[in-house]
Amino acid sequence: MTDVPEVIRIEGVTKRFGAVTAVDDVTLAIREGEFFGLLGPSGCGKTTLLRMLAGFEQPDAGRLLLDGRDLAGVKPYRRPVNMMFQSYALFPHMTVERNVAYGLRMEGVRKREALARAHEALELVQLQGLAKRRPAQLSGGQKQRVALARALVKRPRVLLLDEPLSALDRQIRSEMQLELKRIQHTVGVTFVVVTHDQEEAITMADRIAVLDRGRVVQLGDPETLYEAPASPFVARFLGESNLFSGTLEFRGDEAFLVDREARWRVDAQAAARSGIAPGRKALAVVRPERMAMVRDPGPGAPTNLVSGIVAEIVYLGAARKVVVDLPDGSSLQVRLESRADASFAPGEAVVVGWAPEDAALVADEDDGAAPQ
Amino acid sequence: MRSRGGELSLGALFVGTLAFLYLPIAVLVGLSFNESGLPTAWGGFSTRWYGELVRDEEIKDAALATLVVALGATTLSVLLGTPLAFGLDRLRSRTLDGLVFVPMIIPDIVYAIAFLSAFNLVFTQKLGQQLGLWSVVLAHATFGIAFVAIVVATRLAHFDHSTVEASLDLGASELRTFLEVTLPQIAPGVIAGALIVFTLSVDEFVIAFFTAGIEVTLPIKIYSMVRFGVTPVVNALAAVVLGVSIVLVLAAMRLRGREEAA
Repeated sequence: MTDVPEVIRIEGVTKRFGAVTAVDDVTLAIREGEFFGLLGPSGCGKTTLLRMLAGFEQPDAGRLLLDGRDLAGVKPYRRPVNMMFQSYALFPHMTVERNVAYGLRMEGVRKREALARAHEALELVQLQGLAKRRPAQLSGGQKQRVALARALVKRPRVLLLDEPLSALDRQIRSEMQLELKRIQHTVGVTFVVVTHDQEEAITMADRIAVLDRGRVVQLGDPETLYEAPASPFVARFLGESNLFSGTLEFRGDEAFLVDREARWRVDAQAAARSGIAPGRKALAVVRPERMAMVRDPGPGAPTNLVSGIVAEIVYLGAARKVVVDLPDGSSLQVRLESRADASFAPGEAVVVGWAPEDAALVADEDDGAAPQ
Repeated sequence: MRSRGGELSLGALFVGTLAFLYLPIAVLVGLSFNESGLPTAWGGFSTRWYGELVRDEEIKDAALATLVVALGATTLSVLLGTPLAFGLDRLRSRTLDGLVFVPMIIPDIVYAIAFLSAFNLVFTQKLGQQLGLWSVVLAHATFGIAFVAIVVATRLAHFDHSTVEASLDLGASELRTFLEVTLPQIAPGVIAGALIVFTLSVDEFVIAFFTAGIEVTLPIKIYSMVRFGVTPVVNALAAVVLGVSIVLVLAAMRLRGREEAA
């Protein structure tokens, strides 16, 4: 993968709005032909980063390179980059085909050819029949497709997508996630998508940069981010997780997170790899589906056990989500496949466990900070 | 259930109010078609007075002067009021909105005196320039700019500014974007504003009377004609002005209605 050429290189880019630092010293490389996700909560700087790539904002520090060329001072209309706007930003006074052909017309392509290519682009997004309509006569999903066709018709080096699916209903949204992926494969253009929806990012992106308060906190493929989050923030932001905290200690071949009330055994090799120094506070991140729940821990029970009371069982179709309250007032989430034992009931005393190899270890962000 | 008597008296009130509103206009229009030319006796239907109107050179000159003033004031108002609307939309300040709004409600007579003083001070005394149609144009543009700015700003409030960015992103320069994307979207507002200014300018009397110098616009001409009693020609002239105004206002309303629907 690493020998794939880069299209975009973001070098130490910082952007401030007054006293707020929206993007803080971000360095990223986006590869040719990949589907790249910028994921983070609102206000994390992901949209600002996208707008800098499009040319609507200028970085206060750092450089943006496209195919090795510095983009500083290059006007939006001179960048081989197109953007799909969150609000779609279709031109209300033009028909669908004129909207899509607009970018080509501005390039000086003759009207006939521009319209022919617009129709091809509309075919790509499966909207052939609606070429003569006005945007006001389209549904949300159709507008989204027109916006996509309009941004793709010029075959940009990079397509920027700002929260492309946020305005759609849930059902169309999951359909469009796969559709976007299909279209990206068909055209082979590099996609950079901004989203706050972790599921959307995981489904669509080849690689994801997770942003928090203007900084990249982790960069990786979806599986790495999910299975081996680099920080509690990433663990919490991507999917649900249970966190077990303690001070990291090594005893012989074994490693533990030691707390006042508990001692969690963790994978010693993983602990060594994590780079967390012994004596520092760390968190074991365990996904709900990796948790086991039993009434009586028998010989086959996982290493780390904790007892609690079933507080709530949510039926999700394919699975059940069980919330277990612990004596210290916190709670855990356990995900049970539908075929698993369904006889648990709220109020029941249970034992919840996890195995050391099912936990990801991260340094505790609160380490050294005043207790909150 | 309302009583039958109540319904009847409500209906009577409605008809009475309508009569109050439109009776004078109806009388005017009726008399303009009166062959006899006397307000007291109906001499049969005739377009005679309209014929005399068309043949009256002085009235035609005044009408031409009014047309020049209205077109000038409208052009100036659009050229200055439209950018002003963009500024108001960007700054979003109630104080500035108010400053632009005030000229629309300052009494005409106050404006008239203010213009006379200011024009005399600046142009007549300092530059030796006599007042004329151009000073009426400037005066009418003053309130016209406010009307255009307010109407266009309303339009801009519903304008999706991301379409401008989309256009830039798709390869159009700033100028091209303004012509292809911004202007077509705000055009109904600009045209509606222009029609309002044109209508107001055509029948504006007080300010024109004070600032026209020796020039004569249509309202000034009508005023001078009725000083010695209303002639049938004046009735016909007033009916024509009424007709033109109604057409312009209806056109402006239609455009504004479309703007709100958009």
